[in-house]
Parts: sequence; structure tokens; C-alpha cells
Amino acid sequence: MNKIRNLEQPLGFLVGVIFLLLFVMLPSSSVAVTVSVDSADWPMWPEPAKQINELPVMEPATFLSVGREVVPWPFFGVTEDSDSDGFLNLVGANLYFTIETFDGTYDDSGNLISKTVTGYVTSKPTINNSDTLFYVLPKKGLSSPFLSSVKSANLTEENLVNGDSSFEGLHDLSVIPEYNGAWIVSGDEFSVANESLCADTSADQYVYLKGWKSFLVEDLEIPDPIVTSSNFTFADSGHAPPHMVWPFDPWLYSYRQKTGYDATVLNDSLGAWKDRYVCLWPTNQGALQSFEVKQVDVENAKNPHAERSWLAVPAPAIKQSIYHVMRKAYESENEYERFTVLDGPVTVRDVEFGEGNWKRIAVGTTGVGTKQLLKPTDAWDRLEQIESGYAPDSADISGDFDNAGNGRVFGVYAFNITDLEETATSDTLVPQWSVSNVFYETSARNFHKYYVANTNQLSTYPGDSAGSDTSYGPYANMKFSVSKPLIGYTLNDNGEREWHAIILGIDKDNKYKWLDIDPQDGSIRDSGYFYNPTTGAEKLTKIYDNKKLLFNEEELEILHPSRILAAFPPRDSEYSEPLLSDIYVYLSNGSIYSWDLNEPDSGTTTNPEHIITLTNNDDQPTSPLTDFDVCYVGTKGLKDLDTTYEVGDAILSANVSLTFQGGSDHETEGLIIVNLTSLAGDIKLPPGQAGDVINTTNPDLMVMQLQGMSGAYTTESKTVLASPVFVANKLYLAFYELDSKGKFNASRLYVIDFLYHTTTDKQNDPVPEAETLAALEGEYEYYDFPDGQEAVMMFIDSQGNLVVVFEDDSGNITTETISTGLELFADYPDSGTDPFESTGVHTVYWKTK
Amino acid sequence: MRQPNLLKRKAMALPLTLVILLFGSVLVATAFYIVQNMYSTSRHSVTHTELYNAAQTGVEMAKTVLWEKEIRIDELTYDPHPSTGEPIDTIRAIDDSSEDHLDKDLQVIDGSLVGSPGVKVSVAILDCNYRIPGTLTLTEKDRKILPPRWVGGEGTVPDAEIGPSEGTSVIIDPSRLFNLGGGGAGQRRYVIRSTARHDDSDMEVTIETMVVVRKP
Repeated sequence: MNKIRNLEQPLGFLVGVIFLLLFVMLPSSSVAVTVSVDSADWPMWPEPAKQINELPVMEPATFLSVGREVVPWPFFGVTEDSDSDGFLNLVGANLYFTIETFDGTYDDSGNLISKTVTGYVTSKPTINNSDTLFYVLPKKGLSSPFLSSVKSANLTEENLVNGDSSFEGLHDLSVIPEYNGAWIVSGDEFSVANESLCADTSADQYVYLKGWKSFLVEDLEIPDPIVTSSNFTFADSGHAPPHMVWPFDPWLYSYRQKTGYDATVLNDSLGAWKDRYVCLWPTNQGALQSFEVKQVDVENAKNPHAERSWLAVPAPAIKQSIYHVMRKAYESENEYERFTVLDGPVTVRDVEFGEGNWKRIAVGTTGVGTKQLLKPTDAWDRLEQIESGYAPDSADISGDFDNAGNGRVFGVYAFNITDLEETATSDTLVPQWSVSNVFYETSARNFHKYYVANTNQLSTYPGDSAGSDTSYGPYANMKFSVSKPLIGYTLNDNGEREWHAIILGIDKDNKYKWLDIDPQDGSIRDSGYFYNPTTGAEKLTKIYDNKKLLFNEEELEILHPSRILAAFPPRDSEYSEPLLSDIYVYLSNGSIYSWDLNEPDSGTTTNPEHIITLTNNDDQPTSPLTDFDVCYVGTKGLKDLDTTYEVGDAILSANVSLTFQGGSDHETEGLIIVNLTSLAGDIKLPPGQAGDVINTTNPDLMVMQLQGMSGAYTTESKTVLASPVFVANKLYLAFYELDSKGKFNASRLYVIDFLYHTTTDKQNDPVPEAETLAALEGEYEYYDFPDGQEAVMMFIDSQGNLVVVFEDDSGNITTETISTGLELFADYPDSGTDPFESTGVHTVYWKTK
Repeated sequence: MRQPNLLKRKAMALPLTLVILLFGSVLVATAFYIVQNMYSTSRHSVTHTELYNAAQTGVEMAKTVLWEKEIRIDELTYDPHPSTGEPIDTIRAIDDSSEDHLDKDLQVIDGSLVGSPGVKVSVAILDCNYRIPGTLTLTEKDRKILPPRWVGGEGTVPDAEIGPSEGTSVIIDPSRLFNLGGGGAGQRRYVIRSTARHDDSDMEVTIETMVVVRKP
């Protein structure tokens, strides 16, 4: 017994120690510690882009430059295989500039009389890791005035280590639904934020910010899986083509007696842009990038090239851009995934903020916008935002962690770049206004707000209704917009100009919606829908093939975006200036509208006015694949032709989808030429014939299937080099075709006299093939470039020559040129005299007899 | 010793004198000819220079008129059979305030006004913004007198002529630089023809120059 009693004491100690140890260890056990979160504040993450039926969703809008000295064009990389969730890795892109070189002849006064183009230089822009990065950081709660200047990103090591107060508002801006500093709570033991854009617990508090800057500014070196020796420098630009900004707007200047946009305006208001050629290009990295093109319009230029000058993250993009680096840190493969953060086009035009107060404005959108997912339950652990084991789990919320549903961050932004010089500063790169629309739905919350920032206000509105502020309320229902913003003016009853920026997009009910915005402050002038007299407001359509759903509503808009362009009024119009009286809209569901924004009934069910809806026999829409073009029929063209066309008819041409089958976005595509004046209603397109026959069953509607191969149709893909363009009654279009093995099948250029084809004796006539490029001057012909000449781009240079650009397997760029008959330089009266220069009487030529 | 027969000696002085006289005459005549020719050439050169300077002065006077006067900028129509009988009159630039030809006071300029008495200067200011009627077949004379056409101006031509040419893209975009026709696509262009004639000769000098006028 004594022995036993002797052991009782040590055993008691042992048991006590064990209990003590258990007591001490319990707090670190998930079993014993209760963690609570407010599910309504469960943070959202951007959803990486997914493929649509295994298609890469990344094609930029093609756009043809006519009569200009420099043409920027992007080239996208290949979409990497998606992961098990269907998420895409980052898609790369490169940007190229084709710059014209020339010899000139001059008069006695030194004025340039004529140019002889000597060649074209094509190169990528140079970039530098030290290029200035700006960001727009409107601060939550700041009522007036809005933080109207941008800041350069001082993401230096020193600032990051010591803290950078510039980013004090980043959590408030970028955490959705809102930043909650004490979200994961365990009684009084500890609390952790729902999201941390700086790491919470790791040693380096600014790890994501540092990575973010590198991602935005540096060469991403994305490997090209096809040409293994080359890399892509940038993330893809999605639906955003590069946009050139010219020293002056030729349309406003040409009609300066009406617009008042004369040499005085150019010198006084836009003097910073004299002799400058700048390209703006938003990319899905999340920044708008600016490239200064050097030695343009300089005789015998030795080294024409482009240099990146600055980058800026617009306010809507700052909400999502940093998640690129967070998601990369989260992924076990540690790779960037593709977010559509800044996927939309940007448009730059000169507008008036009050009569005669000219400003240069850039208006852009986030394009598709960024879909929203619940933040993964294991993200807190993987990102070391909390000690292991304390993260909330899916039991705390009901929602889909892999599919975003309808949630989205979408935005529109505007910069005032009137005084912007090559070296940008926060005083000259002015964020004029922005609106960010954020919405998603989980079991715990139906979140919808939109955020307005302009020089007068910084406000947040509930977005589940029209909003308390009617000036911005219509933004609330806009889901996304991938069309290029259209900027122009109308005349009011007093003959005063009123300026508009038109955004064409999709609302939350999958209807095509337009916003008419005041470019000065982003407020809504008007908004509405496109009405079909038989079906009501136009809706996006689903695409079926034999009752199999190929694409849902918004997938078609993402694949084949709707287009909106303004045409110069016809000659019988009461207007004779470049205003917005003849807007044309080509929706992705095949409907075409005309719109006179200058009329009092604009915005009603009949204006925009439905013209036609084009579908094929399976009710699949004839969607536009590139920008369309419009021209008017004139007297000369009709001379001696037996045709149904009449003087003044408006003719539209577009590159379109003809049929949808299986897993591709479209199986066949074609070229259409439509007489908008004579056609109406719903029209079934005749079957597209091969690329050497134009089907003119209806003389007001011509269709040709773009097909380089004859016989069995095994073509893998087709890409037009640029949108079709009318020049002197002829239509120019070129495309290249890849076979099923990805090899070049054909590079073909069409020159079609569209009036000639409407004549009764020429319908369905074969289109002959020209033997040489030089011989391609007939009434209608095509020319196939020989093997080895792989065409990649097409434009019309400053002399009116059609230029086709080729790239071989080694990346060497060559060009071929043919005449279009245009004499642009000679006919353009500005030749030899810069409108920025002083007034006077200048001699053009001098001779004695 | 035999005496010389002087009577039988031939006279040599006369022919020699005559030859010398003839030679001298030729020399003098040649000299006269050369001098007269030199005088004539010099006089011609002086006259040409005088006429050239006078014509150039006419050009400068026309430039002054173009700069100072308000010019009508409507498009003109070339008509080979006008009531005036001078087809060129139909494309003379017009003073917008008086509706007279801009060169009204320059069509006959007295030499004293250009510093050369005895010289007459005639200046025409022709507007390059003119059309040729489609029904008109140009004669060789028409082709000689017509200045280069340069359609365009400041935006007040008939509306029907404004805008890009037919069958050509009308999309309004700064990246599209089509010729905008009569829409006022730039500066006005004029041809100045200044002819100077001397009263005492058939000589005349014509200077033709095209100028671009850009006003504030």
C-alpha cells in the first residue's frame, strides 16, 4: 500500500501536467476555439476568365486606319489550357506599330508639296520598368471635391517598408463588399480582416503591392507556345483595340467654320499635342498604357519607333487589378490567371466643356468587366492572412465557389488629357470622372452599389433601383459593355453644340441598352433600349444548333460584340457637318439600327429605328465580327448601270458570322453588302457561297462566304486583316485562313465594285482571280498571295495606297502596296501647312511664262 | 646709162587704199553691228528685268488684297461663254463685301504705281475652288487658262457638295482621313497671274503663283 501510496503523488503530478498541457494547447485547436464571421461580409474575388465552348475569348476588334501615317495593331498569344475549374491562365499580347517613311518635295517657302512613300517600319514599342505608373484612388467618404488628380505609384522598397499613406484607401476601394477589419472573430482572443491587400501576418506587409506594380509595369515574358523563341510582353487587351491620338481632329478642323475648332483653338487649348502621335492601349493587366510614337511625318526618318511613356490604373480597374497577384499567390501552380479587368475599348475625341472651351477626353470601359466569386475558404490560410486552422469554411455561407453567376464589377472612366505632354504629371493626366457598378448575390447578401466620382462629387448609391441620383441612376442596370464608346455632338434648338458619349452595352436582363453620357461629368443625358417593332426591346439571343445550346445570351456578345459607329450625314440631309445624326448600330443578334441623336424624338421606341434583322435559315444571328463600314451611292457610280440602287442609298458592309455549329464560335463567316435604304424587316440570308462567288439573289443584299479552300471544307479558322472599307465605289477586304493543322491556307484580298454586282446581268457571277497584285484593279477580283506570304494586317496609308502587312515564321515584317485611286495627301488641303502654325499667305508654287 | 621709165610703172596706192578702206568699213560695220546688238540685248535684258520686277510687284499687291479683303468662299463655276466674253472672269475671286472681282483694281495697273513708267501690269486672282460643268467639253484654250482645281474651303459651299466622295466610307473617325470635299477641309487656294507689258515693245512677262491663304 505504501508503495502504491508513494506512487499516487507522482501520478497526480503527471495527470496535472497533462491537464495543464491540454489546457494550454486548447486555444490553438480549431476544435476548442469558436470563430464567427458575418456571412454578409464574405469577400468576393474576381473570377478568372473561362473559355466559351473551348474558345479563347480574346479577339480584339479589328479596325482599319485610313490615310494615316502610323498604324498600331496587337497580336494575341494562344490561350493556355484551362485548369480543372475551367479557369484560363494569363493570355499574352504584343503591340506593333507600322510607321510610314517618305521623301518630300517642297516649295520655295519650305512647305511640303508632295510625299513619296519610301517604306514602312514595323516594330514593337520599348518599355521600361521605371515608366511612370499612375493610379486613380478616389477616397471613400471624401465628399467634395473629388480627388481629381492621379498619383504616381510610389511603390518603392523604402515606401513599402515604411508604409505608403497613398494606399490607405485601397482596402476601402478594392475589398468587395467592403473592408471589415475584424471579420474573423474569436471572442476577445483575436480578430482578422475579411480581406487584406497587404499580408496580415507575413513579415512583408506589402508583398502583394510590390508584385502588383511588377505585374503592371514590367515585361511579363509570357511564353509563346507556338513560336518558342518569342515571348509576349503584355497581357491581352480583350475587346480593346489600340487607339491612336492625333495632333488634331481632322473632322472638327475641316468644318471649323461651323465647329469653331480652328488654329487658334489648336494653339491655345491643344498646344501640348502639336506634332505628337500617341497610342492609348488598355490591357487586362488593369492599366491604360500610353505609347509615344516618334519620328512620324518626318522626312527620311532614321528611326521611327514607339516608346511607352506612362501607365494609369483607372478607378474602376483599381477595384480588381491587385487580385491578379493575390490569385497568383493562392494558386498552387503560382501562375497568373486571366482576369478581364480592363478589357474594354477607349475612345479619344475633342469636346467642349461649354462653348469654345475645348478639351481632349479619353472615355473607356472595363469591357466584359470582372465576374465575382466567393473568396475560396482556404485562401486565408494559403495567403497567410490568418494562422492555420482559423479560416471560415463553406458552412458559413451558401454559394458557388467556382461559378460567378451574374455578379460583376463593371465601370466607365474618363481622363482629361488636354494638357498632357509626353512626360505626364498628376496635373496633366486628370481623371475627369468614373462610375463603377458592383453587384453580386449570395445566400447572405444581395449586393448592388454604384460609385460615382467626378470633379464635383464622390458618392455611393444603392444600385438595386434607379438610384437616388437620377443623373447617374441608369448606370445601375448596366452589366457590361464591350463596344467602343462613341463621342460626338448634336445641335440644340438654339444651334448650340451638346456633346455626348454613347455607351452600348448589356443590362442585367440581357437587353441591349445604351447610355447617353455627358462627357464632362459622366452624368446621364438619356438612356434606353433598341426596339424591334415586332419583338419589343432587343434581347440577346441564345445560339442553338439542332436544339443543342451552343452559347448563352452574353457569350455571343462577348464573342461577337455589337458595334456602333457614326456616319457623316448624307448630302440630302439638313445637316452638313460631322454631328451625330446618322449613327448606325449593328447588334450581335443580327439587328441593324439607324439613330438620329439630333432629333427631339431620340430615345423613343422609333429612334433608334430598326432597319433589318439578319439571320440564317436556322435563326442563328448574322453577328458582326469586325467594325462595319457605310457609304452613300452617288451619281458617278450608277452611270450606265442597270441596278436597283439609287443615288443617296446608304450601303453597309460587314464581316459577319454565317453559320454556327458545334464547338466553334462560328463555322462559316462571310462578307455582306446591304442596302440599308431599301431593305427592311427580318431577312434570311441566302446561303453563303464559296469565296469566289457573290450571291445576289436579292440585289439589295449580297453575301459571299469567305473561303480560301475549294472542295472539302477543313478550314480551322479565318481572320480578317481589317474591317472592310469602301473607297470610290469599291470594297476592300482581306483575310487569312488556317487549315486544320494550323498552317496558312490562304491570304486573300478582295476588291469588289459593289455597284457593278447589283446589275441584273452580273448577279451570282464568279469573282475572277487576279494574276498579280498589280492587276487587281478591275471591277471585281480577288488575289491570293503566294505561299510564304502570310498576311496579318491591312491599312490605307497617307497617300491612299492599300498596304498589306506580312509576317514570316521568323517574325520578319514585309509589306505589299497597291493603289486605290485615292490621292489623299494631294487632296487633303492641310498638306504642307500645319494647322498649328501661324496664319498668313503661303506660296505653293511659283513660275514664269 | 638707161633712165627708168616712170610712165610705165603701175599705181599701187589706190587699190591698197581701197582695200584698206573696205576692210575698215567692214570693221566699222561689224563694230556698229556688235555695238547695236549689244545695245539691243542689253536693252532687252533691262526691259525684261523691268517687266519681271513689275509683274512681281503685281503678285505682291495681289497677296496684299487676298490678305486684307474679305473673300467670298462659295464655289465658283467655270463658264466658257459668260456674258463678259472672258471665261476667266467666272473664276476670278470675289470680294464678299462689294461683290466685285477681288482683282478689280489690279486688272490694269499703271507703271508709275509699280515704279516703272511705260509698263502696264495686269493681275488676275483666280479662285481654285471652282467646278467644271459636267456638260462642258474643255477646249485647248480652256485648258491653257484654267488654274489647278482645289476644291474646298471654309465650309460654305453648297451643302450638296459637302462630305466624303461618293461610294467612299463616311464613318466619322479621326483615324480616317478621307478628302472631305467641299466641306471646308482646309485653307483656300488661289492662283495669282501677273502680266507686265512695255508700252514700246511687244515684250511681256507673266508670273503665275499659287498661294494658300489662312486667316485667323
